[in-house]
Amino acid sequence: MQKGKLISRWLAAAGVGLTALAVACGGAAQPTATTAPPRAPTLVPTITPTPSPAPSPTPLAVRPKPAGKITVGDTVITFANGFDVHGVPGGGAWVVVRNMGAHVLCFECPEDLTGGPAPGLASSWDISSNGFVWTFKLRPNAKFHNGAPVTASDIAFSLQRALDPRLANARVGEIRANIETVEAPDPLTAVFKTKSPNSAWLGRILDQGTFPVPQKYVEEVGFEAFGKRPVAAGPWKFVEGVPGERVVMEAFEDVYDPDRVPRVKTLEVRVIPEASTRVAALRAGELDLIPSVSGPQIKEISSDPNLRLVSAGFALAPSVVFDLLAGREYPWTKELKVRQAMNTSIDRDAIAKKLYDGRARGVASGYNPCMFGYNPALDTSPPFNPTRAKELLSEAGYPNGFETTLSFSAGARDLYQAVAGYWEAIGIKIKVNPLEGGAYSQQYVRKELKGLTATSESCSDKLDPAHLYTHYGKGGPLGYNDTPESEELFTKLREASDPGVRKQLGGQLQKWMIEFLPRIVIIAPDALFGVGPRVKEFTPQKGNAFLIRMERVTLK
Amino acid sequence: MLCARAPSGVACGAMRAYIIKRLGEAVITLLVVSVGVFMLSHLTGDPAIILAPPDASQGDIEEIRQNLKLDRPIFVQYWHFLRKALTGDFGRSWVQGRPVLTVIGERLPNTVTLAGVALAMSLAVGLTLGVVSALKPEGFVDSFAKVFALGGQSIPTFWTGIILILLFAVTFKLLPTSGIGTPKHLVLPAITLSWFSTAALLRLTRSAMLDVLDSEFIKMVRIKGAPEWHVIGKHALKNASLPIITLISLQFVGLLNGAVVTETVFAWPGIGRLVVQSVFSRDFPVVQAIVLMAGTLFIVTNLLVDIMYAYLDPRIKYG
Repeated sequence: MQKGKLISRWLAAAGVGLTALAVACGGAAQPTATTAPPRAPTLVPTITPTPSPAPSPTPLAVRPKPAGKITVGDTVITFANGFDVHGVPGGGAWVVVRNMGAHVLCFECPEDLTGGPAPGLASSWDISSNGFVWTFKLRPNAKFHNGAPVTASDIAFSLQRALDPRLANARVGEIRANIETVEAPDPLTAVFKTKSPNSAWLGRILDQGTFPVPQKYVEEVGFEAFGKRPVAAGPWKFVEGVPGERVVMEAFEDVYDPDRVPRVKTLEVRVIPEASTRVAALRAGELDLIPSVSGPQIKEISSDPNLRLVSAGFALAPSVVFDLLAGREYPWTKELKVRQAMNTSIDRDAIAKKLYDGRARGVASGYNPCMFGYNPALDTSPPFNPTRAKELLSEAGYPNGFETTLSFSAGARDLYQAVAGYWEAIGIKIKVNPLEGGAYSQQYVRKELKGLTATSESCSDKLDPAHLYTHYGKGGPLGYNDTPESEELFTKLREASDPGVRKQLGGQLQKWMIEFLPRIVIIAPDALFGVGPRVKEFTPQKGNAFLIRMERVTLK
Repeated sequence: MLCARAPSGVACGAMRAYIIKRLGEAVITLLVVSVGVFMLSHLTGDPAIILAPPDASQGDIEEIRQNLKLDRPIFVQYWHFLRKALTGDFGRSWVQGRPVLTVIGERLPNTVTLAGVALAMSLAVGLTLGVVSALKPEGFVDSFAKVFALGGQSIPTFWTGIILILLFAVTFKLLPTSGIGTPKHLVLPAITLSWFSTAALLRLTRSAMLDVLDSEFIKMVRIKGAPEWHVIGKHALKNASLPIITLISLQFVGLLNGAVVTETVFAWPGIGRLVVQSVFSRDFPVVQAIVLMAGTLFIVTNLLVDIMYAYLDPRIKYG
């Protein structure tokens, strides 16, 4: 009987996977609807609502109980309220929150998120024909760490709670902009009513910072006490912590999906801000895993026979933005040939070799492999051709180059000074302007930085091409682009709900980004993790530089 | 009480008046410091932008500004801050949301411990080497001490810390690389932190001792047949102690306030790292509280040193 359940579970999972694959390739099977015939969800990348009920859990007897301890190092843990899973002003707490929390959809579960999220606390969901109503059916066995059942009221409460200004939640703007209401018609049904049919926001809201928490417990203990002893529904439950220094979590064996029961009993996250100290701790055996390995640490780890590097592929790529805002006095930025010249004058192979130990590559644009509609055939590294670069400058009317400023956050000095050097070599005089992190952020957001500005393209942050509007669209809050070329594309992306149409539009957007060059992506380094000798298996999520999926780590 | 224990020659009333005057000056100084740190913090830009998510709308940023009362005129904000600070309430950390004094209180004992151990190392090594160097100038110990002092004052703390970690934690696995928890965790950061202050103390002790050892009264004591340890310990060191005590006091305050690099390298959860993190994240309440505390500590230490002078050297009179 157990074997039969196991087989049916795997068949159901295979069915989901194959359906997702079929839809992603453009030929979607339309699932049945609870109301009017639903379309395939616009959640990007596409994934159909699961047609079959949640499989019954695999008996825990087939898997050994969690054992052992794994210690990971990270640069920072910052919460707005103790260790509150909603108190996440930015990425500084994801390693804790995304291991402690679980939502209706699991964005942490798949190794490759371009295939779509996996079912989470919800075993199935569907979308109304007009795309404004998302209905999630919760698993009846889903529990919080304190044993309370996860109900739809908790989902609704949690989304509302995340808006509390004391929590400085990074997703407040997205929640307000996109969600009308969250209702709980019955304990196992959560209904999201949205303000637009564009589901691109869903991933960003559900995977970071709005994890369900038990309403009754929160109301009983109060705001601050909850921050000291948070409760969620993910594979790891909070045990103890010192704010800003360390957090200890323990395996939650009653997690909603037996496959998410951690293989290790205890997970400790230690904050070690200094990169060389983190690597030293890894070498000394005090840490088992560290993220964000870069620069000289790459060679240090790869030359140690006891350690290894594991790559998550492209996660974050430094780039340079051209100031294309209206009213700015940089006529040269408006010249495509100038932008092309600057793009082709950078020796990306040399940068990869010298600064990233070869673990980086050139890419054509910020439309990265995590994006829905990404076409790898278009994503080739720009050639290094300084001779052609000079010709392009002459053709554009700048045979003697010009002067400009390159502003960047001081932490990335090596890279941007190298890039400035390449531009100097073709006649462009660059005044480097390294800024303290906070000052850089302020001036960037206010669009006060003139000339050339450094930034970065993120893989895990976006997924859906509509999100690129923030950075590339005319009037985008973080964009320096007032040109109208992309406006029509982004408008269509915001309105399109059919996955085939979205994929096509995504392809057009990728092409536009490559041809129009509103930004130059300098290099796409691999997101590297340092792994110690005790770790047997660790597979990061592709494109995600954070330490998630820790339940799947095994020790020797 | 001060008068009861005062050595002869110290005008008690004058001392009292001096202390009161210094306390008055301290209040004014702290007021100026509070204005300075408040205004300078706000000059670094709009903290609401840093505290908001990168793609926050203007409305979100404005809401944060209102919640943190940053939309009020700066002098109103300062008055609000001062009024609360006088009652010991420095508000809440804008980043962590917890009371500032709680946040600082968690870190302060760690810094005091580290600074205390570092100072003890400085005293033990610096005083000893300084005295021995002065007793045998140009000898082996003196030569070693000069190189030691040069290293301490020129080698960056960052480098020292990393090298110690690589040697003792990674290669020999004798000590932990970082963190806090056991006495072993203190060793490497304390050595790293103390080297600079040891070097300064060593050089000052050597110099002060050389001056005193050359004086007439020391020669007289030796002529009278006093044992050498008596000459050095009771007479020479005591007379050389004034500048040494001043340096030690100021060094301790410096160690308490500025162990940023050491704390970062060793992930030591202290005040130095907290204040730098708070500056970068524009967590003004934490920055203001720490700067005021540091200023208070500095002023009080200076005052105590001045009072101690009067006891150590009866020739010193105040008022």
